[in-house]
Amino acid sequence: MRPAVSIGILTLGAVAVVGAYLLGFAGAPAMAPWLLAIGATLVLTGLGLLGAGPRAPRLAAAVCVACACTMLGFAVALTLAPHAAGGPLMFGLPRATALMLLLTGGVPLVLLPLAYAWAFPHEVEGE
Amino acid sequence: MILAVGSAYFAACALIGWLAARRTKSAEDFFLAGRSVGLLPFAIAAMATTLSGFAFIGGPGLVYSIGLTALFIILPAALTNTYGALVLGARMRALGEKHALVTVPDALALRYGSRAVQGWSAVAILVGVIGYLGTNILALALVVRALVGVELTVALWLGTGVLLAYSASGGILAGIWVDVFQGALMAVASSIVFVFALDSGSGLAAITRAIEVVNPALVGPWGARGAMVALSFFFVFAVGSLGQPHIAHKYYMLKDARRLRWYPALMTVAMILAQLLFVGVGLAVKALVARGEMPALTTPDDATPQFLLRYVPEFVSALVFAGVAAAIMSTVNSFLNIGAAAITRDIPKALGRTLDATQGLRSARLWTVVLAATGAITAQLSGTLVAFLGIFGYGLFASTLVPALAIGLTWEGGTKAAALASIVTGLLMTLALEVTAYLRLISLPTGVTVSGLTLVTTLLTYLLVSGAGRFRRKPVR
Repeated sequence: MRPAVSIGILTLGAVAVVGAYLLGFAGAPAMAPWLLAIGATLVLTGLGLLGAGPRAPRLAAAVCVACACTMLGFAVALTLAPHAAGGPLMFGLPRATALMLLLTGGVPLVLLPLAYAWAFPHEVEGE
Repeated sequence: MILAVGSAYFAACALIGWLAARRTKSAEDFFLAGRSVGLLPFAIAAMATTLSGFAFIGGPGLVYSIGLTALFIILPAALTNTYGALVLGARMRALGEKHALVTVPDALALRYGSRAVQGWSAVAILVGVIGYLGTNILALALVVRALVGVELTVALWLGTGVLLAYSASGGILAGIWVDVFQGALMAVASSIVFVFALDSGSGLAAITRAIEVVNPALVGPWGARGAMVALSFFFVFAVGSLGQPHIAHKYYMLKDARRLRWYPALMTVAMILAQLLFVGVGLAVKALVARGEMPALTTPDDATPQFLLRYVPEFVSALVFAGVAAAIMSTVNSFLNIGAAAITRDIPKALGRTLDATQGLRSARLWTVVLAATGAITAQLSGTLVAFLGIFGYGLFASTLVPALAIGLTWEGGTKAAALASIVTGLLMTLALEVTAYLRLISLPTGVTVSGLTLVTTLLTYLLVSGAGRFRRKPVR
């Protein structure tokens, strides 16, 4: 990924985080958590792509997939109705919690270290 | 039993430190363990340094009081375990070897060709270190008091003494050796207690059902404090992890750069094991209290000690208390090391002065003692100020170092002016906002934190000043 694109994503994310905090000062309407979730994920995507560098397509892809899963996890949690006592459980946790943890925690936790090890001889060591 | 395990633990730390001290011959040994650390000790030491006593005491207490909102402090590790290697690891290791770099400000000075950047970043590190030291030494004193059963003041100086026994004599070489012992202890203790936590609550589903009767939001995806607070935690702890100098400078120590390949995977396993207690105990105690099987806690920080006293065999409790001491000591050792480096190397270099190897080692040992004593005195005298000092340490490192270090090492467009602007902005803004918030002169809305606000401001400062393009650009080579 070209550095200019990574920096653009990072900048866009930082602006979104600022927007979320400004909305926080205005009473945090429903849009504020969405902006913060999108902003934080974009900042991390930009940093990850910068870290991968311009000649590391496998690492860049892994970063994009991990960050997309993270955002998807946040979206699930923001979209599903709040958990009520006696509601359905998944893996011993409320369904929205389990789905969010699986997408935001589980997928990147497994994907990124393995992708890094896989790409290392081709995309990190030579650089 | 607890006294015996505690005494054995402190004796083992002192012994390992003494052995390492015999091999510490130069400032490079003192600050970088002679660049000779293998992958496994490197990963375990990085884990032990990353986690402080908060993972064992404050964290479970926070889960007990605000539910899964607290999880967003450790959830970013899913990304950051790899991001550390991806963004900083290979670059810092390579630059360190090629240019004989020792500290994080060394890397910044090389990147931007600026003594001012080195000096200001060293000042930011020193301010953050002093804050962290007071908090962590007080936490260590509380654990030593529980382990050994002495007065708090005696515990404070006893803990500081053991720390100095290996930090001042063996530097980071001793620190790494002790970290490996301490990290293994933390992972084992945390894993065992997690099993007891699930067992005492009759499994995760039963724990969830008991908690949701009290407040379903506690086990909801954002916890009791809601989405803004949870996401703010996530932002600060995910992005901020790339600006923690006590972790970043460990990349210089790795013996062979090729070993970085499996570092994220190993670090991930180590972190999962060491953080099981964080979530497990917090949720189990909440469920036990909800069911009336445990009395309500006087303070959330009692979650781990009360659980250990009631549901875990005494020997395991003793192991966990030693694990807490281990977590604190490994973090403090690293802070002492980077603090001494800032005073003896970075600030003098920024002012155009350098010490020879012998003077450097002697000076580093002396300043390690001075910093530890300063931290102990701060802990003894300052009361609630200690908690305040600890709070702003992480945020200060994040806001001052993430833009210049994490973006600067990966993007050629970052400029010296941008690095200086972001470091100074982060330092002044963190100090001003944290002090005014501590004095209750300002009040931020829910979900808007000083650390988050400052971090995003310095990120944009760096990007905007670099983007202005009015300064000479110097690529990384």
